[in-house]
Amino acid sequence: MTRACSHVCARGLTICASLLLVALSIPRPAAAQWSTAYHQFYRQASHNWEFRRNYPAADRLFNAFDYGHAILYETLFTEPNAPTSRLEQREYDFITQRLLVTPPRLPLEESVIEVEYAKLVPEAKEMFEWAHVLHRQVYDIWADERLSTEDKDREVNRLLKHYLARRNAAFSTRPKDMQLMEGQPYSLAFRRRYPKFNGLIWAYHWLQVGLYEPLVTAKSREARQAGVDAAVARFRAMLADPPRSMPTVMPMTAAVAPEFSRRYPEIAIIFDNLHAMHDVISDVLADSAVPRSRKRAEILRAVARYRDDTSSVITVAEWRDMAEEMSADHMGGRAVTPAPRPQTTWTSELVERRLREANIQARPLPPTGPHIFMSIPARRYELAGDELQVFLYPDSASRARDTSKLDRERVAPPNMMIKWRAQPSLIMDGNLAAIIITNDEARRQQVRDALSPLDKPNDR
Amino acid sequence: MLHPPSWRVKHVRRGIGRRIALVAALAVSAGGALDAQTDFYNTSPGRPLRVEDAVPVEYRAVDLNVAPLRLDVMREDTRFWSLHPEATIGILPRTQLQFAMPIGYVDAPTTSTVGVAGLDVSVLRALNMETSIPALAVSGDISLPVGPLGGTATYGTLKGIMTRTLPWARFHGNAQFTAGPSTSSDDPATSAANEGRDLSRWLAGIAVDKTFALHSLLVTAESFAEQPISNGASVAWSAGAGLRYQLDPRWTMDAGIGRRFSGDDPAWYVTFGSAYAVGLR
Repeated sequence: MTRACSHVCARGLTICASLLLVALSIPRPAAAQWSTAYHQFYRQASHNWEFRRNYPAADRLFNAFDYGHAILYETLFTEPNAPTSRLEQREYDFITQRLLVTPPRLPLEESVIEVEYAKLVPEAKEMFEWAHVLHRQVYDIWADERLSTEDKDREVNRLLKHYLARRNAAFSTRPKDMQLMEGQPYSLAFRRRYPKFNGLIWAYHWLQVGLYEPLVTAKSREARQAGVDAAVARFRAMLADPPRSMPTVMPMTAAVAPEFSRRYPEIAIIFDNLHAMHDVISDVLADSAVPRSRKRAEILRAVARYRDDTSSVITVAEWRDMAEEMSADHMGGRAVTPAPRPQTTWTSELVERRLREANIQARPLPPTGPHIFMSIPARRYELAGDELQVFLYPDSASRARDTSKLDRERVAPPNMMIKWRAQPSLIMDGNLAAIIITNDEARRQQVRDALSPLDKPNDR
Repeated sequence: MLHPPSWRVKHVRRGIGRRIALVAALAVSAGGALDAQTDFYNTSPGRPLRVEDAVPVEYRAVDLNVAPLRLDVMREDTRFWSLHPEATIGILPRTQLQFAMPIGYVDAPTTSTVGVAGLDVSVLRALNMETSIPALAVSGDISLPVGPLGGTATYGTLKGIMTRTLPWARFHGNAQFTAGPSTSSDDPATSAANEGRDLSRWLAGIAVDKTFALHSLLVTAESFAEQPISNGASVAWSAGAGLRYQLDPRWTMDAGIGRRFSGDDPAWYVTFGSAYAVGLR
């Protein structure tokens, strides 16, 4: 090529490309939005990338998960009229037969895969990324064999503070009710249309929270390794016969990784809010009743609800109850099967001791004979104007026979109207059922905390 | 752009191929020992091309470009080597501060010169994150006359940057203007003193890149025009191509090749760089 020719080519290329760039950059006025979201680097620490170093197979799976989430959103947003087979077969097969078999060696730049979605709501994308950083750094801490258990707890608490310092990107540490995820006009649109891909996403979420359980419960490096391997094997088994072998409800951290959730309830709640918001965004994108021009606004509305500490908040005890009622078996199972242990039995002495330890003044009331809807009489206590009714059964099966007949919301049999003096709440654990009747929410929570769960060191 | 001297004193030929191989080998072997990272998706000037994207380094990230190397091969057997160590810090959300101290080595047929070629301090501020509006950023740069190849005057540069992402490629547009005295090509002393500095009166260019996400690889190409800082010099047009590749979560490498087609100093150039990312504690 002569010099003159090169010159002309270079100049022509520049001018043409510049014009193209200007044309492509003119925003569509209706959709134009100004976003000031930003990326933040992970917290620098000695444990950075320890999980990758010690558990490379599991770590690489997470890189593949990045792709699954990204291609899902991009497809739902850019190809709303594509046949369901686009996700249920083509992408599902690619992911399960190729990507999960040979996962990428590095975390993916998701904005390359979900180009249009990333431009639609960078705020939501940044929230996901920041929560995923938290995920990975908690793995790193618990994968670092140089740290003692106390060091790990201290590092996790530091990490949590670091995470929460970005209020615009952090999920709330307050649990949210299922209404937020399943009671909106767009709810369930995704899972009804794409049951297999939805099951795949839930299987991802099962592993993401389930991996913590062997890391925090195992007592040695070898046991941790074996536990992580077992969790990964269980995840792969979920893909064996889709969607039957997959979770049928959203995996909740308190059910899948109960010990991790007891140790770090705030982080477990953050992850549940994260995973619930994943589902909400899938629904908004999949629901044709939400017009394309409203998708961003709807997603930002949901994002705000999962970020604030006020919308649809439930108590931590209710969050645990919800996880228990939804049942770990429907979520893919507990990540670590607990060893059989002797069942602690509630007694009136234990109940009164627990109330005393919680600084609750409980004055026994005289017996009143048979209860109106329970099969055994109640032991009644007066708590500074409020009332607590305690039912102690011979075993948990007897207790379940009574409580399974109740509408838990109203604390009454479905066909019976009862006028309570104040708002009742049902507490259940093992052979115990209790009804706290109060309008004082702090008191209600105090009693809940005192009476559940069992297994404090002095209970036996 | 760098404008190596056209004067000649003594013919000094070196084995270019051997030197490139040596530097590459050193860089790669250092990488094996380190456990490094930077974001392969985030381009910056010279790494590998001149036109950059409108995305700063992440808030609280420190990007260490220890030994980015550039070689310009010009007419009359003149070669210009440049080592461009720099540190970039995400000091605020969407804002980066960068320090760079280029070191130049002019290898002409009859002479050679080596030395620091100025001290650059720059701030880049992203105005937004891309939505239906392209990502926009502005940057300001001060180039101080430090070192034997650092010239005699201070220059200030203001740049506007835009990035637009499409499903099949990303496009970037850069336009910049530099304030400061023009150098005179009639005055060899002044001209020579500014040779090592990366200066042009104005520059405008575009780049396109394509990312292969599953392989952590970015391939890019650019074309730009610039008016050299020296009086009477004609506009120079350049085009280049390059790639960035993520080696591991902290460690990235890049390489590029380009050609200055017109202007007073047509030349081929190649770049090779690597970067290591850490976070602020």
